[in-house]
Amino acid sequence: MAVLDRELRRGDPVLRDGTRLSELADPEHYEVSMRLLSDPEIYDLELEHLFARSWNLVAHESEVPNPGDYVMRYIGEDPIILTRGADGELNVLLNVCSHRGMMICRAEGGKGKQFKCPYHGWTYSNTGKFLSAPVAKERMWGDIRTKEELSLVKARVETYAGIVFANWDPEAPSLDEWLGGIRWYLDLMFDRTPEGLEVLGPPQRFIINANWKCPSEQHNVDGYHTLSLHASLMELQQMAGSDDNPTAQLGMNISANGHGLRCIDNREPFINVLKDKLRPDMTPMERMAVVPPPGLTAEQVPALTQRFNDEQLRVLAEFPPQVGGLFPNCGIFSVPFPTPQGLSAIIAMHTFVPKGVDRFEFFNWYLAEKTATQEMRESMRRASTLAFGISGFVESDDADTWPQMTQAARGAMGRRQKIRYQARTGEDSKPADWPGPGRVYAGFTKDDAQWNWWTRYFEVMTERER
Amino acid sequence: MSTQEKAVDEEIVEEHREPAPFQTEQAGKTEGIERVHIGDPLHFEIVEFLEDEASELDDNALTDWFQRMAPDLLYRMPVRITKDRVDGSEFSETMFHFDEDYLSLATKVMRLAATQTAWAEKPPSRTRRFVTNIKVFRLPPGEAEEYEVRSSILLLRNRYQESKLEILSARRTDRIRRTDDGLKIAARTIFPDQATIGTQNLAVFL
Repeated sequence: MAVLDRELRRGDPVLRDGTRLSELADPEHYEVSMRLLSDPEIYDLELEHLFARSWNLVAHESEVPNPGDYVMRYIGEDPIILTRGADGELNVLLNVCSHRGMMICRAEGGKGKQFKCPYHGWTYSNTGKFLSAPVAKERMWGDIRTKEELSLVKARVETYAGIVFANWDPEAPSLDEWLGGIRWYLDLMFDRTPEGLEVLGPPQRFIINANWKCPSEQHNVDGYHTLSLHASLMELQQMAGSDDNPTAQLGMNISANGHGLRCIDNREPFINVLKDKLRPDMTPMERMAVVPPPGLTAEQVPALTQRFNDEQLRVLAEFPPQVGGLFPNCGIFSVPFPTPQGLSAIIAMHTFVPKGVDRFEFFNWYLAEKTATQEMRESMRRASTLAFGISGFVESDDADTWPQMTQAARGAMGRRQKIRYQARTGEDSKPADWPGPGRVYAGFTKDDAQWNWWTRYFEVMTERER
Repeated sequence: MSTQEKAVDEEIVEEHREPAPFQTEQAGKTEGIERVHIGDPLHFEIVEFLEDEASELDDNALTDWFQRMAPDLLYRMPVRITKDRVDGSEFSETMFHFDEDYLSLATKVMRLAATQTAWAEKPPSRTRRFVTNIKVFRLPPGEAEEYEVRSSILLLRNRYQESKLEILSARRTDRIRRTDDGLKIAARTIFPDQATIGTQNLAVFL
């Protein structure tokens, strides 16, 4: 069943005042209009053109480990149920009863082979199949629609390294194609052991009164803000650097299909406690033996050679992908982090789920290797909660920023202002010996990758070919 | 009805699982611990301690507030998710909004109190904490005299020019210890009433 009305796809949308959406980007000057952050009409178009056609990160497989497990999540504003069927397969079902449209599942997670709508009792299997309704002999579902037609709407589901993505669009490219070149780098963050990662528990969830694009474009991938917004890290001596010597800013910014991440130059660590441990002349394996990649132990480091080639190992040791995002609305992290008890690590995923033009829900998962000891898990959870998420001393500053951008975009003048991405590295900075795919921007972190996120946004919203 | 549909109908299973008790009072057992009733001077002492503590937080006297913590502190706020009662507790034991020991809470407090760039609270929120429904229990004698104290807290928070107040309400379970230096908080667990927290960050404490 085609779940999307293809007629809704109008190409470059014309807004009520006659402006074409594409006119809100100025590629010549690398500017976009702040109207994009505050116009409810654009938000409605995003639900149709963007979220309903994208691969949306909804969960990690380890949240539904056993047949019968489920969690409730969102694709755009659509509530969905992610289930694991008796056959172990994942299903993503629209959480809307075929009968009178009530949400059939109201809990956020649990166990259940079937879902029974509270309103009239219509019952569905956890693969979405309409089974029956009370007083079956009366056939309260009639004979106009078949039972097949009365099943729950299903989305396509694909996973990468246990991360579950869903897409309503039957014609969308595969997840692999969607991720494109960024996958080479994601492997180094999320797919480093045969066992893989699992979540530490259910995600933190909280509301931020800001447009979802504020955090999304920041994570894809703004390194520069760290110096000002997170200057308290330097005041607390957690991070090295200053205005004159901004060490955390160097490395490669990677961009592919609108996804972006930063391979931060680790040859001269920006975390103070690492500074004395690493020397420039060390080989990649020597470096990782001293400071293992985030969430791995020194004992796990030798086995990395079975998973990665020399080029990947060099990137993992010298320019590890640490922070970034996935188009359209995710943040991803694999970072070492100093805690009062010593060096720990954070492996995290965020999604910025839209709840209106000026409101989004922040989902924040923490992960660890399935093989991690209890001690490692607790250390990572402590480090993560210290720095990230709702109470984290890094991200609590970000959370106070995005609402102010959104509010500023409301006024008659504000919405006519531009946000600017004019710090350009350019397309010719990729080092000759850089082994990874994607568009690579070397040196000080600049705006290229973020601009590419916006370019992708306009491509998807206006259906231009990639 | 076709045979095939009959077969499908037969798949419906009525599951009967025992619901977990609804946790209005998120706490350990109360058997074997002695309730300290309202009117007891100890109860008054604890109420005064909690009210003074709330005032310090409202007044943004964070370093004073931090002096109330014991060095073996565990300060936590578990993530809550909406669950059917048959699926057990709504509170996660492995994911937290706050998950602090003495040093990590010290780091958060120091950042807010002593750096110039903690933008999350610069300018500071205006907050008001209401602490009520206080139940005090005397814990079995150990190395130190300790009390289990349960309280409800309503935190109102306001920032910038917004007229609306953000609301956080929670039940707290504290372990409060008598020391030579007065009462100290050895453990606090904050059980939020929201599954999705309605404030953009927790750069404020409960």
